[in-house]
Amino acid sequence: MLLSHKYRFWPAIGIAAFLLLTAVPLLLGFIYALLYSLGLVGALAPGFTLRFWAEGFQSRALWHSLGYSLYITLASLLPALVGGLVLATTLRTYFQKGPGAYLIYLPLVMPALVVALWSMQVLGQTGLVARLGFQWGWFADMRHFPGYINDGWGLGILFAHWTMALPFFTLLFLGMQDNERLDDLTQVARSLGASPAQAYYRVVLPVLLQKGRPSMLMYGIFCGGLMKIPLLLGQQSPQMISVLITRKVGRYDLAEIPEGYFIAVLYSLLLLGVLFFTKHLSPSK
Amino acid sequence: MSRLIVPFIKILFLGSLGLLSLFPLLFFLGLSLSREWFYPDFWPSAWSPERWLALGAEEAPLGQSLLLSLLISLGVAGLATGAGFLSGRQIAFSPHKAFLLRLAYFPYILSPVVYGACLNYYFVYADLSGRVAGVVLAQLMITYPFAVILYSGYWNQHLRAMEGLVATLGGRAWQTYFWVIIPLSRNILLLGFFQTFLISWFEYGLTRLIGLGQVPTLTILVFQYIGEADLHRAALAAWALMAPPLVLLWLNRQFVLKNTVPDA
Repeated sequence: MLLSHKYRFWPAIGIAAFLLLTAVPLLLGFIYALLYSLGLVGALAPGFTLRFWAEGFQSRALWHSLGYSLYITLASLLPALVGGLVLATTLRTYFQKGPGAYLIYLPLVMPALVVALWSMQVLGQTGLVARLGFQWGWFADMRHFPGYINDGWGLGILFAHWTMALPFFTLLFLGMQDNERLDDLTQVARSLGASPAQAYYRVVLPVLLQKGRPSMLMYGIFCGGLMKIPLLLGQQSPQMISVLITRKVGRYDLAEIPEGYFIAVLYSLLLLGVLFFTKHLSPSK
Repeated sequence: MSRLIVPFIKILFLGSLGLLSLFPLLFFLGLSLSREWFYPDFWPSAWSPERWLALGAEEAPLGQSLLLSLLISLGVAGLATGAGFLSGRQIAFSPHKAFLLRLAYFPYILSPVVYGACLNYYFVYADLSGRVAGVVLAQLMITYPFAVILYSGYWNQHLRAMEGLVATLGGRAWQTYFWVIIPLSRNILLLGFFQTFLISWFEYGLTRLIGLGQVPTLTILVFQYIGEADLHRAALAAWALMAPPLVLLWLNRQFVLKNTVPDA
């Protein structure tokens, strides 16, 4: 292209910005974490050693945390996914006009921090459920309500994640039905002799699941890195992986920092593998 | 029969949807306006608007924090949108598009706060830790890749042909951008601006880590109030936190729906 030399200046800023703000920081951060975990930098750095890696792999906190993150991710994602799918396909007309079209967007104005606060106020020991239960005589002693935050099953975390993910997936699938012209496809299937159920299970559902796969996958990966909600509603052990890393790295106990960076390196490599060896990860449009 | 059932389902459904989505907002409003709310009571025993009235008072931490957050987020959103728009063009036509976009996702999937923990050393070294400038830079590292992802999907051959057309007609590079491309892209520029604004507005982990708690944005303040068990103030701060997205929702529903990343 002969013209293109005229436009080289602005785009060059674009690439420089990408290198400066994304590529280089990613590399620098990784190098620092790697060197720290190998004992080469940091206060009390003992010099090159594989000790932190060996100890890290044997630490139970790491494996518990990975398993717990996976559990929270699946338990957050699947019910919200199914719920969103059902709401978007069966009650679609209510979301298209009237108050429903606005109400479904309202939960999106709540940041994770506020959702976490909300969950505390609903499920906590002196929360709304406890108040309601006491007023209605579900339990006699007001101290008997167990409280569902900071619990073993992470119910508080899950409640908060559902609050955020259900409207998200409902809106995602609602948008998709318009974009993919599913009404037309359904009509074709029906006129070719499919029953309503067949049209739903053979046409609508496969299209939505197929098209929604990148978003679902991304949301799933992001769940592991969610931070504010587990920080406020989770318990001390096991912790979500991002909470574990930041707690270890931010400790006053300097001996724990290399292990924290080891986990950060391991987690980055794991995600790098997922990111680069998974197809269909392109941004959803 | 179905004539009776359908309106019933509709009322039931809309009622519960309204309850579920409006209730948290009303609850926080009530909490911020109540003075006493003892445990087994379902209703506050005393009300007072004092916290809302104190918002405008000088040296009120919440008012100052609101202003600081607003300045930081507006700055971050402007920079991220501008740089992301330019980078998005280059990346959209790059042969390495797929690779670069996956890199752009990485700060998010790694979790902003873990990313920040790995970079903290450099911030301390550059003496940016505990300063507004450091927080702005850290938030740019999160919001800018988001803008890149958004805009690299937007640039297409049509826009490129527009650039060519302007050049053929004798336009300069800056004229192409300021008179043709930017006016054409007004909607998506606004979308990107508001969404990066919200990412920055809702940011907590990085701001805490890099700002060392000395840059008291609204989210830091909410966390602090929760830590102090001052739930009435936390509720008021939560309302301050939700006010901009509520306004954006009123302007255009698409502004608050990020279909690529959730709030970490």
